Amino acid sequence: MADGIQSRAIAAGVRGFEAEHNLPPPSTLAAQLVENLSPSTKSSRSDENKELKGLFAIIQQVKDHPELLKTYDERVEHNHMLLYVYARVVLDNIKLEDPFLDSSHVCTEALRAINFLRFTIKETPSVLAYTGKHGFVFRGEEPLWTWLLPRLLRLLGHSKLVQLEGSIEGFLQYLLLVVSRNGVLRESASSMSSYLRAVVSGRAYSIWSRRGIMMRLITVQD
Amino acid sequence: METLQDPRVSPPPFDAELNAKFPSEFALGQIFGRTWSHTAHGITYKVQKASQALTQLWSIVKVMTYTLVSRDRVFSCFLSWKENGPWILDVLLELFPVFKRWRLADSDYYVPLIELTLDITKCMRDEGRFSKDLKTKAYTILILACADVLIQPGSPLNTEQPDQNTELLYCKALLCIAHGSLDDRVVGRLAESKLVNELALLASQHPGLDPGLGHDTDLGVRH
Repeated sequence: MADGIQSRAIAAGVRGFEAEHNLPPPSTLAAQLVENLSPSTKSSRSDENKELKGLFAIIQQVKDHPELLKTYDERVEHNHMLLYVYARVVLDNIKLEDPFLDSSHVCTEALRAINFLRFTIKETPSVLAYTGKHGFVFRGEEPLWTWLLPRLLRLLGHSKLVQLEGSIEGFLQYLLLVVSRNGVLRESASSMSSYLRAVVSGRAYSIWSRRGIMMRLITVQD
Repeated sequence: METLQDPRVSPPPFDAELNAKFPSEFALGQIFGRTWSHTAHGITYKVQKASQALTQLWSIVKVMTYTLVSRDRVFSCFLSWKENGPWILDVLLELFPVFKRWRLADSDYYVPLIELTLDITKCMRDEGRFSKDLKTKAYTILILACADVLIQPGSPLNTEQPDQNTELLYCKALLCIAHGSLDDRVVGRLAESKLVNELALLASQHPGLDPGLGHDTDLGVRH
């Protein structure tokens, strides 16, 4: 049945899954990120700098004292924070409009980020629907998956980041599988499906309409 | 659609500036409710170039197809995934004129398009959860894709030495269509008009032309 494109994409997803088993826990990975990136992370916004500085300190603290996280809910909350920091520091720092973009370096960083996302989501799948009262500067009340997807999708298909296509596709498939398998994420499954379909339908509409050509707009409603 | 296929309308360049935001605010309102813009932060993104938009479109279609052809049973009992079947077929149908219009009618897109459509068609053929209408639609798209690749000047089958994997894929697609033609007369009639007759016409117009499938591969001839 799935003997063509899909089987290759799934195989890529499996390779990503296997890679997870060679990774240290998310808290350690995030702490390594802090050690590597915090000195170079500077923002023009002081509130953002202050926020990241505070979060880096918490990450380091949990790395040194993992027993601080006692319950599953605390682990979910902590992983939400890890994903927020990782996305802010790595994914949001990729400047696609930079004419001197170092494709190789960006791809390496993005692949590392995707592996980190997979590993963290695997540990606490319900983090995808996390909307808690976190008070982060760059987060609203949307579920985490809604906040993460645009940060990856903006990289997908970019001419300088061709290497990332398979990994991002594999990660999206992984997300669809995770939200489908977890009862608490049922609502997210429906919204995620609608979101992705809206991206395709909206894109098709936008491309066609650039020439003033009317076409049927595929309206997606669940 | 007619305008899209009008040869007098020259397509914009592949790397044209698009500078569009996705998903649209309308779509987000449908998904998250009217007040999403007051409570959400950074849930849209921008795409600068048309080339990225098209590549991304194709990538997401592949991802969504996963929910359809995956062997994982979890997808078959989910309403929103079940809805992906008709949606994906609609999108694939819309993709033909887009690919043609944006000059993507080469092996980079045609071969994966047939491959993906073949995956979907075989999945729908083999599993009882899909309606007959949906199966017919899948076969229709496969036939149109195969017919298209046959007549396009830049298609991978219309080269001096077609790639063997491409030929193999095409033959698999034809076998699948032949299977569908036995089950459904509508599919059979469409295959006859779009493929069998086209091939015959092609051969009569260009004597000595190998239509890419090699000798002794005429499905209509009993050897």
